[in-house]
Amino acid sequence: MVKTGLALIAIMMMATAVQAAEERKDGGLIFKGVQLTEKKGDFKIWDITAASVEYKEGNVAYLEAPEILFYDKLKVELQVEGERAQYDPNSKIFILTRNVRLFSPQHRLTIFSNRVVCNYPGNRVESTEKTRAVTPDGATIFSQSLRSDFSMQKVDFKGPVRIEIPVVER
Amino acid sequence: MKIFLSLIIMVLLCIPVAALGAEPLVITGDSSTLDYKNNILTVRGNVRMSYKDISGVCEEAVYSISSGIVDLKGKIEFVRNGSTLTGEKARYYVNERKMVIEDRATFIHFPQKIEKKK
Repeated sequence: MVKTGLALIAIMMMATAVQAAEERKDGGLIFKGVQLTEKKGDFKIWDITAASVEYKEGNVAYLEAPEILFYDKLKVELQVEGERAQYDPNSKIFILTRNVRLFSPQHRLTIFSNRVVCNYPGNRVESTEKTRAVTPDGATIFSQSLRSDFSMQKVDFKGPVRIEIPVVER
Repeated sequence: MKIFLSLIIMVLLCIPVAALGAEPLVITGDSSTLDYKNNILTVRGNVRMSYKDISGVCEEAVYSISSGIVDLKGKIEFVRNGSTLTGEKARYYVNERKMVIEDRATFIHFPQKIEKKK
Protein backbone atom coordinates (compact mmCIF):
# COMPACT_ATOMS: atom_id res chain seq x y z
CA MET A 1 0.00 0.00 0.00
CA VAL A 2 2.83 2.40 0.93
CA LYS A 3 4.88 1.40 -2.14
CA THR A 4 1.87 1.84 -4.39
CA GLY A 5 1.27 5.25 -2.86
CA LEU A 6 4.88 6.33 -3.40
CA ALA A 7 4.77 5.15 -7.00
CA LEU A 8 1.55 7.02 -7.53
CA ILE A 9 3.03 10.20 -6.10
CA ALA A 10 6.18 9.77 -8.23
CA ILE A 11 4.29 9.43 -11.46
CA MET A 12 1.67 12.05 -10.74
CA MET A 13 4.41 14.60 -10.17
CA MET A 14 5.72 14.04 -13.67
CA ALA A 15 2.76 12.81 -15.69
CA THR A 16 0.98 15.12 -18.07
CA ALA A 17 -1.28 12.31 -19.29
CA VAL A 18 -2.16 8.79 -18.20
CA GLN A 19 -4.71 6.71 -20.05
CA ALA A 20 -5.19 3.96 -17.49
CA ALA A 21 -3.75 2.62 -14.25
CA GLU A 22 -3.98 -0.78 -12.64
CA GLU A 23 -2.52 -2.55 -9.65
CA ARG A 24 -0.99 -5.94 -10.34
CA LYS A 25 -1.33 -9.02 -8.14
CA ASP A 26 2.36 -8.82 -7.20
CA GLY A 27 1.80 -5.31 -5.87
CA GLY A 28 3.28 -3.52 -8.86
CA LEU A 29 1.54 -0.53 -10.30
CA ILE A 30 1.27 -0.09 -14.05
CA PHE A 31 0.21 2.99 -15.98
CA LYS A 32 -0.71 2.82 -19.66
CA GLY A 33 -0.52 5.41 -22.39
CA VAL A 34 1.76 7.69 -20.43
CA GLN A 35 3.25 11.09 -21.13
CA LEU A 36 5.75 12.31 -18.59
CA THR A 37 7.73 15.48 -18.37
CA GLU A 38 10.36 16.90 -16.06
CA LYS A 39 11.10 20.58 -15.80
CA LYS A 40 13.67 22.82 -14.21
CA GLY A 41 12.12 26.20 -13.68
CA ASP A 42 10.40 27.21 -16.90
CA PHE A 43 12.46 24.85 -19.07
CA LYS A 44 11.77 21.21 -19.86
CA ILE A 45 14.49 18.70 -19.11
CA TRP A 46 12.83 15.81 -20.86
CA ASP A 47 9.55 14.53 -22.30
CA ILE A 48 8.66 10.84 -22.34
CA THR A 49 5.92 9.03 -24.19
CA ALA A 50 5.54 5.36 -23.29
CA ALA A 51 3.06 2.58 -23.92
CA SER A 52 3.27 1.74 -20.24
CA VAL A 53 5.17 2.63 -17.09
CA GLU A 54 5.42 0.11 -14.27
CA TYR A 55 6.71 0.46 -10.73
CA LYS A 56 7.89 -2.76 -9.10
CA GLU A 57 10.31 -2.06 -6.29
CA GLY A 58 10.89 1.33 -4.80
CA ASN A 59 10.10 3.98 -7.34
CA VAL A 60 12.24 2.72 -10.23
CA ALA A 61 10.10 2.96 -13.34
CA TYR A 62 10.06 0.34 -16.08
CA LEU A 63 8.89 1.73 -19.40
CA GLU A 64 7.63 -0.05 -22.46
CA ALA A 65 8.18 1.46 -25.94
CA PRO A 66 9.62 4.70 -24.55
CA GLU A 67 10.35 7.73 -26.68
CA ILE A 68 12.38 10.34 -24.83
CA LEU A 69 13.19 13.89 -25.88
CA PHE A 70 16.01 15.57 -23.96
CA TYR A 71 16.02 19.35 -24.09
CA ASP A 72 18.69 22.00 -24.01
CA LYS A 73 16.61 24.98 -22.91
CA LEU A 74 13.96 25.29 -25.63
CA LYS A 75 15.34 22.98 -28.32
CA VAL A 76 15.43 19.18 -28.50
CA GLU A 77 19.02 18.10 -28.02
CA LEU A 78 18.64 14.34 -28.26
CA GLN A 79 15.87 11.91 -29.19
CA VAL A 80 16.05 8.39 -27.80
CA GLU A 81 13.69 5.47 -28.30
CA GLY A 82 13.73 1.74 -27.71
CA GLU A 83 11.61 -1.24 -26.73
CA ARG A 84 12.31 -1.05 -23.01
CA ALA A 85 13.70 1.43 -20.51
CA GLN A 86 14.39 1.69 -16.83
CA TYR A 87 14.41 5.03 -15.03
CA ASP A 88 15.77 5.65 -11.55
CA PRO A 89 14.43 9.02 -10.34
CA ASN A 90 17.08 9.12 -7.57
CA SER A 91 20.06 9.00 -9.92
CA LYS A 92 18.06 10.32 -12.91
CA ILE A 93 19.61 7.66 -15.11
CA PHE A 94 17.77 6.02 -17.99
CA ILE A 95 18.81 2.61 -19.30
CA LEU A 96 17.27 1.74 -22.64
CA THR A 97 17.45 -1.74 -24.13
CA ARG A 98 16.45 -3.54 -27.31
CA ASN A 99 16.50 -1.80 -30.67
CA VAL A 100 17.57 1.52 -29.23
CA ARG A 101 17.82 4.44 -31.59
CA LEU A 102 19.36 7.82 -30.76
CA PHE A 103 19.08 10.85 -32.99
CA SER A 104 20.88 14.17 -32.66
CA PRO A 105 18.78 16.79 -34.50
CA GLN A 106 21.64 19.31 -34.53
CA HIS A 107 24.14 16.97 -36.19
CA ARG A 108 21.65 14.62 -37.87
CA LEU A 109 23.59 11.71 -36.42
CA THR A 110 21.70 8.45 -35.91
CA ILE A 111 22.96 5.73 -33.56
CA PHE A 112 21.68 2.19 -33.19
CA SER A 113 22.43 -0.06 -30.22
CA ASN A 114 20.82 -2.61 -27.95
CA ARG A 115 21.79 -0.89 -24.71
CA VAL A 116 22.12 2.81 -24.02
CA VAL A 117 22.59 4.61 -20.72
CA CYS A 118 21.53 8.26 -20.49
CA ASN A 119 22.81 10.06 -17.40
CA TYR A 120 21.20 13.48 -17.53
CA PRO A 121 22.81 15.06 -14.43
CA GLY A 122 26.19 13.71 -15.57
CA ASN A 123 25.56 14.89 -19.16
CA ARG A 124 26.68 11.51 -20.45
CA VAL A 125 25.30 9.14 -23.05
CA GLU A 126 26.84 5.69 -23.48
CA SER A 127 26.14 2.78 -25.69
CA THR A 128 27.56 -0.26 -23.96
CA GLU A 129 26.97 -2.83 -26.68
CA LYS A 130 27.74 -3.12 -30.38
CA THR A 131 26.91 0.19 -31.95
CA ARG A 132 26.27 1.48 -35.44
CA ALA A 133 26.31 5.21 -36.14
CA VAL A 134 25.28 6.83 -39.42
CA THR A 135 26.39 10.34 -40.31
CA PRO A 136 24.40 12.69 -42.56
CA ASP A 137 26.90 12.21 -45.42
CA GLY A 138 26.26 8.46 -45.34
CA ALA A 139 29.36 7.25 -43.51
CA THR A 140 28.73 4.32 -41.14
CA ILE A 141 30.76 3.73 -37.98
CA PHE A 142 30.66 0.32 -36.32
CA SER A 143 32.10 0.02 -32.82
CA GLN A 144 31.91 -1.99 -29.62
CA SER A 145 30.79 0.98 -27.54
CA LEU A 146 30.26 4.71 -27.69
CA ARG A 147 30.42 7.64 -25.30
CA SER A 148 29.39 11.27 -25.68
CA ASP A 149 27.49 14.04 -23.97
CA PHE A 150 23.93 15.06 -24.82
CA SER A 151 25.07 17.62 -27.40
CA MET A 152 26.83 14.86 -29.43
CA GLN A 153 29.38 17.51 -30.41
CA LYS A 154 32.16 14.96 -29.84
CA VAL A 155 31.55 11.21 -29.93
CA ASP A 156 34.13 8.62 -28.87
CA PHE A 157 33.92 5.13 -30.34
CA LYS A 158 35.77 2.26 -28.69
CA GLY A 159 36.92 -0.53 -30.89
CA PRO A 160 37.71 -2.26 -32.77
CA VAL A 161 36.03 0.28 -35.05
CA ARG A 162 35.14 -0.01 -38.70
CA ILE A 163 34.19 3.00 -40.81
CA GLU A 164 32.61 2.73 -44.24
CA ILE A 165 32.71 5.94 -46.29
CA PRO A 166 30.70 6.09 -49.52
CA VAL A 167 32.76 6.94 -52.59
CA VAL A 168 31.46 8.89 -55.54
CA GLU A 169 34.21 8.49 -58.13
CA ARG A 170 34.87 11.44 -60.40
CA MET B 1 7.45 14.59 -75.33
CA LYS B 2 6.99 10.96 -74.27
CA ILE B 3 10.48 10.09 -75.49
CA PHE B 4 11.91 13.08 -73.59
CA LEU B 5 10.13 12.05 -70.37
CA SER B 6 11.28 8.44 -70.84
CA LEU B 7 14.90 9.62 -71.20
CA ILE B 8 14.62 11.71 -68.05
CA ILE B 9 13.24 8.75 -66.10
CA MET B 10 15.99 6.45 -67.43
CA VAL B 11 18.72 8.92 -66.43
CA LEU B 12 17.19 9.36 -62.96
CA LEU B 13 17.01 5.58 -62.51
CA CYS B 14 20.61 5.12 -63.64
CA ILE B 15 22.06 7.48 -61.06
CA PRO B 16 20.82 5.65 -57.96
CA VAL B 17 21.47 2.22 -59.55
CA ALA B 18 25.10 3.20 -60.11
CA ALA B 19 25.44 4.30 -56.49
CA LEU B 20 23.72 1.22 -55.04
CA GLY B 21 26.19 -1.48 -54.07
CA ALA B 22 29.14 0.84 -54.79
CA GLU B 23 32.16 -0.27 -52.77
CA PRO B 24 32.87 2.05 -49.84
CA LEU B 25 36.24 3.17 -48.52
CA VAL B 26 36.84 1.12 -45.37
CA ILE B 27 38.94 2.31 -42.46
CA THR B 28 39.44 0.18 -39.35
CA GLY B 29 41.28 0.88 -36.12
CA ASP B 30 41.35 0.57 -32.36
CA SER B 31 39.27 3.66 -31.63
CA SER B 32 37.68 6.66 -33.30
CA THR B 33 36.38 10.13 -32.48
CA LEU B 34 33.74 12.06 -34.38
CA ASP B 35 34.29 15.78 -33.81
CA TYR B 36 31.48 17.97 -35.13
CA LYS B 37 33.14 21.18 -34.02
CA ASN B 38 35.92 20.59 -36.58
CA ASN B 39 33.85 18.29 -38.80
CA ILE B 40 36.38 15.44 -38.73
CA LEU B 41 36.46 11.74 -37.94
CA THR B 42 39.75 10.50 -36.46
CA VAL B 43 40.77 6.84 -36.36
CA ARG B 44 43.68 5.77 -34.18
CA GLY B 45 45.65 2.62 -33.47
CA ASN B 46 46.42 -0.16 -35.98
CA VAL B 47 44.74 1.83 -38.71
CA ARG B 48 44.01 -0.04 -41.93
CA MET B 49 42.47 1.50 -45.00
CA SER B 50 41.25 -0.21 -48.15
CA TYR B 51 39.38 0.65 -51.31
CA LYS B 52 39.13 -1.68 -54.30
CA ASP B 53 42.70 -2.71 -55.18
CA ILE B 54 44.43 -0.29 -52.79
CA SER B 55 45.11 -1.18 -49.17
CA GLY B 56 47.42 0.12 -46.51
CA VAL B 57 48.27 0.87 -42.93
CA CYS B 58 49.23 3.89 -40.85
CA GLU B 59 49.10 5.10 -37.26
CA GLU B 60 46.34 7.65 -37.60
CA ALA B 61 43.77 8.68 -40.19
CA VAL B 62 41.73 11.88 -40.09
CA TYR B 63 38.76 12.06 -42.43
CA SER B 64 37.39 15.50 -43.21
CA ILE B 65 33.62 15.10 -43.58
CA SER B 66 33.15 18.30 -45.57
CA SER B 67 36.02 17.89 -48.05
CA GLY B 68 36.16 14.08 -48.47
CA ILE B 69 39.91 14.00 -47.79
CA VAL B 70 41.72 11.58 -45.48
CA ASP B 71 44.95 12.79 -43.85
CA LEU B 72 47.20 9.91 -42.86
CA LYS B 73 50.22 9.97 -40.62
CA GLY B 74 52.78 7.67 -39.08
CA LYS B 75 54.48 4.70 -40.80
CA ILE B 76 52.30 4.82 -43.89
CA GLU B 77 52.49 1.85 -46.23
CA PHE B 78 50.11 1.33 -49.14
CA VAL B 79 50.11 -1.47 -51.70
CA ARG B 80 48.51 -1.67 -55.12
CA ASN B 81 49.17 -4.39 -57.70
CA GLY B 82 52.46 -5.30 -56.03
CA SER B 83 53.75 -1.71 -55.89
CA THR B 84 54.37 -0.15 -52.50
CA LEU B 85 54.14 3.47 -51.42
CA THR B 86 55.49 4.54 -48.02
CA GLY B 87 55.89 7.76 -46.10
CA GLU B 88 55.21 9.56 -42.85
CA LYS B 89 52.47 11.94 -43.94
CA ALA B 90 49.96 11.59 -46.78
CA ARG B 91 46.69 12.89 -48.08
CA TYR B 92 44.12 10.66 -49.79
CA TYR B 93 41.42 12.25 -51.94
CA VAL B 94 38.54 9.81 -51.53
CA ASN B 95 36.45 10.62 -54.59
CA GLU B 96 39.47 11.05 -56.87
CA ARG B 97 41.35 7.91 -55.69
CA LYS B 98 44.48 10.02 -55.48
CA MET B 99 47.15 9.81 -52.80
CA VAL B 100 49.83 12.42 -52.20
CA ILE B 101 52.74 11.53 -49.93
CA GLU B 102 54.11 14.64 -48.26
CA ASP B 103 56.98 13.41 -46.09
CA ARG B 104 59.76 10.80 -46.63
CA ALA B 105 58.05 9.26 -49.61
CA THR B 106 59.28 6.08 -51.24
CA PHE B 107 57.74 4.22 -54.13
CA ILE B 108 58.70 0.66 -55.01
CA HIS B 109 57.27 -0.45 -58.29
CA PHE B 110 57.23 -4.07 -59.48
CA PRO B 111 56.26 -3.99 -63.15
CA GLN B 112 54.58 -7.26 -64.15
CA LYS B 113 55.44 -6.92 -67.90
CA ILE B 114 59.18 -7.62 -67.34
CA GLU B 115 58.40 -10.92 -65.61
CA LYS B 116 56.17 -12.03 -68.50
CA LYS B 117 58.97 -11.41 -71.11
CA LYS B 118 61.37 -13.69 -69.20
